[in-house]
Amino acid sequence: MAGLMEALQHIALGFSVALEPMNLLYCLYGVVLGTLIGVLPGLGPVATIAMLLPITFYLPPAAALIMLAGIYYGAQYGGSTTAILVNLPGESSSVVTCLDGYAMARSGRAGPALGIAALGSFVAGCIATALLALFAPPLTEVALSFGPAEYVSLMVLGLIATVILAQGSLLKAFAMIFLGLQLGLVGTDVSSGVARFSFGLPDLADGLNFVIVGMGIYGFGEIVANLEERSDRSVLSAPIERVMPSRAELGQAWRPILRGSLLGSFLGVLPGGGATLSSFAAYTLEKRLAADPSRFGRGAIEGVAAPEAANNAGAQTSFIPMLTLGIPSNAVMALMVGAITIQGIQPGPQVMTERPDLFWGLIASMWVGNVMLVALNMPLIGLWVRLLRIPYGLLYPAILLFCCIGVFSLSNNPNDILIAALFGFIGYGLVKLGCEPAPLLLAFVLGPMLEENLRRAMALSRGDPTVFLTRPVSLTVLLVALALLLVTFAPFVRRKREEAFHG
Amino acid sequence: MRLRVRNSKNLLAGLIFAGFGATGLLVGQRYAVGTAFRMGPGYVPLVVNAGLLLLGLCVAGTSFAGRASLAGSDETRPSIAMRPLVLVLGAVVLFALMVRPLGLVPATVALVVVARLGGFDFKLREVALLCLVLAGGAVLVFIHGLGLPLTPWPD
Repeated sequence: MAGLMEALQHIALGFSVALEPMNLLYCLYGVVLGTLIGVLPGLGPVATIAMLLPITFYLPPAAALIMLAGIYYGAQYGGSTTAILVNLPGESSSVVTCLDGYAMARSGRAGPALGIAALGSFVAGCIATALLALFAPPLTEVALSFGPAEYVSLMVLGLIATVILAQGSLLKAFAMIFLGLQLGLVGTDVSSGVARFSFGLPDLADGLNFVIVGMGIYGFGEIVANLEERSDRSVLSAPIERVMPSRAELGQAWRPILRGSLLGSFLGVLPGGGATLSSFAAYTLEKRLAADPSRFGRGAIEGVAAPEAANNAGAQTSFIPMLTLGIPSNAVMALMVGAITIQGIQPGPQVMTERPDLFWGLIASMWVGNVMLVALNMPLIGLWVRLLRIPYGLLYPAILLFCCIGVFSLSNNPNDILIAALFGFIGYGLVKLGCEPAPLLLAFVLGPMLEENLRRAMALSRGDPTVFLTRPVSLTVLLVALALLLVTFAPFVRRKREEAFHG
Repeated sequence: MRLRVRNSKNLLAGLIFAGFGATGLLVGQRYAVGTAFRMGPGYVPLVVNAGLLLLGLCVAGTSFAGRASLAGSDETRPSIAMRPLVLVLGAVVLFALMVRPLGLVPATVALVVVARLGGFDFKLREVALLCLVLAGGAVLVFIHGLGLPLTPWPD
């Protein structure tokens, strides 16, 4: 009973922060900007957040976080609009939405497809917010007792999980992790003050900025990749009449929405998980459970409802490891960690105890933001359709300009733009060679944290490496990592994994 | 037995990784390694770079192996779109070099024109209009609005 009262008090505190007029406004900005850019194909959430990050530097911490979170789930939602109407995923998490969403749109049911995506996302958002409020406090309690050894093991687990979830060869994904760790080493070593790998350049003395690396790889690299595809986009021209799904459609969809929400909430917490994994898993689950799986791919409403619910739920619960442990579980959360650090707050379990207003305000704002999304998007769908008709030739120079100015504004240094261009080149090259960039970016952000905790753990144990095996939590986490690794290398799973990525 | 390259992507990727690792080892020689108890600034770089070099060699090695499962199934050479790659990134570089000495307006125009040359259609009138709108908008939003320390034109 006492626990429930406490939870209610926390939620009340959260809403008092989230409903402040300033924060409401920034939540609205975030949601609208996120949807707007999410609708545009070929610009993922990482590039979107990196591009808009400089704006949030001028805001107080709570407003900045609320706006960034709004951008993230707004982009998630916008991506599904593009998937349904153009058959192009606006984000990687809406790849599966293309399958049945576009099929529905072609048979004249674009409205209900968009409607169920919005409703599904909303329900999922509510469920994930509630789960976040329930499970974050006990997890934080646990996290407060963690020492450097536990953190090292958790980060190792996170890195191994991204390797497994990366597309293509495992060996290359491992190499990308090490490349990311190496790039993370650039800059002044905190404990000795030695400038490492800075080649005498003052621009590198403070290390490579994660926004610059992310912008180069995801922003510039993706524009080049889009330009070579020259795909013709045919936007659905038929007017969208009704957005509200019919009673029969709702009857078909409510169970998949609930299942997708729960599955997405669970998968979002896992390291390396998040929105993309959740939507793939939810689609597969619905296809398995369906009485007639052949309907999938031909406009089954469950095939839109479940993954859309799951990706929104996963997007929100992926905040849990970031907020409670300070460890980002995917590239978007890595950017969030950077954004919080810039605000002068060290992410980790102490955030909840020291800045409960920030913590609970963010959680409450997610629910508020989801209400805004539903309220805005149902009537604004016409606007998004018009936005989709803007030719790419007009869009990409504008995106490029925003990216350049965004990078410049980080420290008012034009050389940062040159570094971003270099990473655009490296990123594009590596993608062409079949290396997925996500493990690199995550390792890049985790690298300095990993090194610091490793050095601290080894100093505490007087150089005895068995410290990672004698502390029970650390041992358990490492065993899980090892199990994941063994399972992935098992021939059966490897075949399944290749099927999942290619099929 | 003759070695045959079966996967040129893996060969190139592996050599790039190994190159980064080897460079890191060379540059990192200067940093004190220390002991596991008191790690110096060179300890972790040594481990990471050695790992990168080793993994890079392994990746390169798979390009000679016949087993597609280890190497990944795609055996084609990478197709690289040189035109957008050079011109889009070139546009970014030009912007970076021009924005301080020449101002935001000339830098934006250079960015837009060169970036559009990297695309598949270049319509003079459309590009001119785009330059006008973006340069004007950027000056309004970023110089007058957000107050970035930039000037529209050379001083």
